[in-house]
Amino acid sequence: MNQGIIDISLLQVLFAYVFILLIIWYIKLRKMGREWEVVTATVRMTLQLIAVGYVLSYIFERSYPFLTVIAVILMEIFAVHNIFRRVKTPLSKKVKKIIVISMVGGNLVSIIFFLFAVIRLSPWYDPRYFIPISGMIIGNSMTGISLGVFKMIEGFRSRREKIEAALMLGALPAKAAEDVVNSAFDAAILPVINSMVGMGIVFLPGMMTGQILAGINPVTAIKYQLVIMLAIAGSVAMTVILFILFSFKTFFNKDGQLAL
Amino acid sequence: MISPAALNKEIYRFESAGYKDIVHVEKAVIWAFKVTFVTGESGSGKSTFIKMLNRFVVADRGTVFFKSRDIKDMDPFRLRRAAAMLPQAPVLFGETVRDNLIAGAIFSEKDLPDDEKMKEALQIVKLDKGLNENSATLSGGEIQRISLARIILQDPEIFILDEPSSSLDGKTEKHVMENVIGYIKEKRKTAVIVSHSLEIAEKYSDEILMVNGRGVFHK
Repeated sequence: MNQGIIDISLLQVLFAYVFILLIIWYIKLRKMGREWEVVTATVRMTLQLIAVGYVLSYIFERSYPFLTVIAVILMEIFAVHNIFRRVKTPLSKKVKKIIVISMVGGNLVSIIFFLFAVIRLSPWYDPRYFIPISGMIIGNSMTGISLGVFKMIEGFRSRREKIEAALMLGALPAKAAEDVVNSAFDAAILPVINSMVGMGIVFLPGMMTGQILAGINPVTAIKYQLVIMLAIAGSVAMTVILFILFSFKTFFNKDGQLAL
Repeated sequence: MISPAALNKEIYRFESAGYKDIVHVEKAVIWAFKVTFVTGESGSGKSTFIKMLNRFVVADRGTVFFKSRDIKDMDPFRLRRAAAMLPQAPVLFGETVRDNLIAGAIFSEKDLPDDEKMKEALQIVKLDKGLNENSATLSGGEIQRISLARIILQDPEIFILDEPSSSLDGKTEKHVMENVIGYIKEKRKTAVIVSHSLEIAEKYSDEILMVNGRGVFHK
């Protein structure tokens, strides 16, 4: 912005769709029958981004606290809805409730901590910071908890014999489920750890690239990226820990049996 | 055989207890310090019956008493620490023989057995393995024996064993069963052991419970 970023004209953007046509042509050629998925995905991306562009410029121009808060609440609702959809196995009402509590709790704590204690936003509701940073925290937590939920349910099913054998020797649920719980946490946090390891060498993260393109000093961009990655790691860990803590007991009944 | 008065203590009492149409026990008693065998054809409900002893199956009619208390009113985890059970399909816990042997003590939050005790337990079950050996390579029969050693080291008051020798060959089975039952008697423990073989049951038992389609009966 301040160094005069090259604005792309509409025609230039349209030109970028050439590769999608190439993909569709190839899929048709190989008769893989996925061309509609590619078309839908492309159209959805385009419409969603155009819409969000208008919504964001509307919110940025006005900068009202309630608009910022509503935008974040909507993102949270969308994220929770997406978790329910992405975990393929049916979830009980209780587990769904726990997912909501864990997402809201974990995200809220890290949004408050990173926006107000680390970055020290002023005014506190500045949508230019509040919305994208919350979005990254919520989005990554959504991915993390989806993996954690899936791994947990799958673990209770596949390790049923072992968990029951432990219960038969007098193990408490927390001890009997220890392996399952640990691997659920691992599955959730591993993608974040991996991207931390590759960051700056294997790839330049999107937010940082965007800031650099916008003419911001790379060192400043890197500081933001560091803070964001730490916020994401913290939030993913917190949401998953909350989920595990509250949910593992729902897999056991009052007779101390595994209830699946 | 007439038992001395001190031995005449009941651990479990079944009164018209049953679960679905799988098992029904009109009246049965399991006595302290005795080895009770549960026998019957496969599919007769033996496993379901013994799971009523540790609340893995809860009777939907009648009452099961544990030391004169309704088993439903007990804390299931304390019950299972008193009456530990070895399931029909034994499992491994951890990477080494040692990990596997101490698992029972860990689950029941007891002091861990020392190496001497672990070696002794391996001898009882006739398993010639070092404590630091990897357990991933153990055969089915060896896993069964390491599971027996585990429950011995856990030292519960009551042993509930579901087909503990099913994967052992005839000679090993005889040796291991003799040793384990000898150990249980020597330590004045109570045991409930499922076996599909009436021959084994008659050889090693103080009491036999027969399970068939109609119910569970003292023999």
